[in-house]
Amino acid sequence: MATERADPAGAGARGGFDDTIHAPVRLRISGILRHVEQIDFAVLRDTLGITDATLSKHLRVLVDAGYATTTKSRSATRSDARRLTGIAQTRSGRAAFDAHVAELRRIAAGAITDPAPPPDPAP
Amino acid sequence: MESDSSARDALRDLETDRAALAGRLAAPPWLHAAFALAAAWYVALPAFGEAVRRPAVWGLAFAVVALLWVHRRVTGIRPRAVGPRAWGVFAVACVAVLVLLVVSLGLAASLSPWWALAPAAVCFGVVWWANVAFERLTRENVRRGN
Repeated sequence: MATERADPAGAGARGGFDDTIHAPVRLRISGILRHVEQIDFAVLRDTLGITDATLSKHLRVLVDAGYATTTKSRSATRSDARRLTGIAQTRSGRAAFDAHVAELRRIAAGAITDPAPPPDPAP
Repeated sequence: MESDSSARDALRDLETDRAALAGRLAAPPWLHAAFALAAAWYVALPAFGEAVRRPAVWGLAFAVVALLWVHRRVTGIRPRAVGPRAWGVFAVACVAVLVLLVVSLGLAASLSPWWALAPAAVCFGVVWWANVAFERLTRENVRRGN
């Protein structure tokens, strides 16, 4: 079973900068997901060195934004109802992460940091 | 909204996480040995009669699929890209296995069927090396962020 919402077309994104991804843990989750087709929940948690609850909370935000999907599968080593959760990045999640990292690189290189202000309404 | 130093910190964190992810791609040695054993068994098939060869090929195909599944389960990771160098190693290994199979067939036909075990032993070593190299190159690819 996969859960994926429609692409919100960069909701929360300003230029390449994406507020949904920018939270440190979500940026790190997205950074890992960028390089895998799929990763088990437990492996992602251990790689990042965070708790189940923290990962679940931030993963929920990414899934709700349409940036990640989760897939449940039966565990070969468990006889109870617990299941393995596989996590993957969506195409829009990859695009948003790539744009965000490009923006971070631009900032790190010493370029202008603030996005352009919204245009004044016509008189 | 963002200073250049915090942007650099965020990028450094991403790099550290990629290195940690690459470290988790390592499969246990027994899995490399199992893949090598499957390939060696394939090359050794000319040592056996037709009655053994046909079911053995199906058994090998099943074993390889099962090993790939186990590899995925053990690491918990399916990498997005392994990189051209890893695919190069894979191609070299495939060619080597086919060449060794031809040698095995030749030896079995011209000398004794048991001579097929010699190229099979070589195949075990080649595929073991290829497996380890494929994994190392995949990890490098992930670490570099490609």
